[in-house]
Amino acid sequence: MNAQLEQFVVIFLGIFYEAIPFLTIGALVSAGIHLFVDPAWLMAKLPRNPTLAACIGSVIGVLFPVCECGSIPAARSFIGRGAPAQFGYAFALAAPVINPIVLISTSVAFVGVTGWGFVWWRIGLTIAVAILTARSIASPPTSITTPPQAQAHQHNDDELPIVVWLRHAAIDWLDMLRFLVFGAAAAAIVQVFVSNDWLITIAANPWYAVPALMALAAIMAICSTVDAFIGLALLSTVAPNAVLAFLVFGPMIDLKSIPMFVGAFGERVTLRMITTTALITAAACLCIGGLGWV
Amino acid sequence: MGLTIRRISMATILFALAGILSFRTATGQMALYIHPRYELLVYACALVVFLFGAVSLSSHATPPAFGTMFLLVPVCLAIGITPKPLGSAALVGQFHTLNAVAPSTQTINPTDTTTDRAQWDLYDWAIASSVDITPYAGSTATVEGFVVQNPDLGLPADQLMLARYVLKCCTADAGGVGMPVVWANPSLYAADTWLRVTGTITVESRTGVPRALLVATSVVPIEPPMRPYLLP
Repeated sequence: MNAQLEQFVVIFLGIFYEAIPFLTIGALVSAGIHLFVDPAWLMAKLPRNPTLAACIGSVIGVLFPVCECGSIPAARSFIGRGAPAQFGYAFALAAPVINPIVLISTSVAFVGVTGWGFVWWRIGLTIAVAILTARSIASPPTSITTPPQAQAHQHNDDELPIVVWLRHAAIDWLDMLRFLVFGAAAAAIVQVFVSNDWLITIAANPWYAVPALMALAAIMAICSTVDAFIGLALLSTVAPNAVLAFLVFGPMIDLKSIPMFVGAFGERVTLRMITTTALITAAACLCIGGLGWV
Repeated sequence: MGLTIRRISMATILFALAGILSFRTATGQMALYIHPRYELLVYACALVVFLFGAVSLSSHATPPAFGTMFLLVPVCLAIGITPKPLGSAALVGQFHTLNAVAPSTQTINPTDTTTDRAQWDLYDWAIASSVDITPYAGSTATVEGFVVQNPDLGLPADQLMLARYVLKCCTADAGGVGMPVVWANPSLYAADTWLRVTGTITVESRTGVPRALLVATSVVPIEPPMRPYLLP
């Protein structure tokens, strides 16, 4: 077999084998939340002040550990049931990172290599970007519709709870898996066919490295439960602040989440969300890199 | 009928993935792809994937076609292609970052005689080189690795590069470490041949930067190890 193809297979399967347990944990937890936690209980506790609501929305993912595939429908449900729109926006943007699964996978990937600093930067910057973006969107969603119950989520009342749980988790898992396979393949292709010299040349220019990695994150559309391992691999060839932009922007905005945002919040809010998130992330990461903080 | 076939197909693929994860881990082949610290996690994952397959058989729902199709990609690659570790070809284009994975911040005391330098691997020597190799000149070293043969290395005719990969999580983050070896007939060994080399560390400054060079007294071809990557 061609040496480059062999290398692609080894790297692709390496990412896949590494990520699949975390994806499975994420699917199990996400299904558990969907089945066993009542969002109405949280609604009674939420403030009406938009800024405070955005602050709470940006960190509530700790209790709702879902990726962007789960956070956007959940945010729509929150807003539809009377929660402040800023709470829903901040939750949809931040929850893919600010949740236990992603925090654990980020720590596992980075602490041994860079120490805790990089993990804290990812957490802090994600919360800040989510709050600022949510707060900048004054208008409520143009359309809030109740999502149709997926056929996959229908179940009989006489089924054991664990069977229902596993069935929900399997559907979530398969739904997210395609993004993992796509992202792992894209990352492997980049590693095999794009010379490190070229990446290092881009990384050497702080003006190009950050937007380039943000665009890469949006195109790759990697599940946030596993993107830390791909970010770790990029760290050897790309500037740390650009990798930080990759890990902050990617879970918020990517090619697979944009249609979901449009469906949940409408085109106008989605456009505002994309541009604001991109500008704040880029500006912050350029400053962080320029000041040598990562 | 169509729905039943789709459910059975999806369950079969899920069972196959569970089997692949378990088999690769049990036979040690998973170490060609990921750090062994994740083995227990992979076993647990295999169990859950098996249960996913079991519940999908009894499901009345339509399996997501896209997810099933995408799952076929890693399953087919895992079944159809013989597991192999990263080799010397993956280092092409990375020669200038060889040994970059070794943290120069790690403290090594050159005067410490309690550690047996003869037991150091290529990663240990890369760390020592990243600080200052000069105090280690004259040390005896025995290292194992695969041969890298590439003109881009710019090595003299009497040298070959012995290298290994260092793995932190998975093959995506694998970084190379290596040391030039002085030997009478380096072209005798093809790329990716595994060697055990014993010799004396010397310091050369051909490129202006002092770096370790292993003047070999013994070169022995060996079988590739079960765990080919160094795992700091």
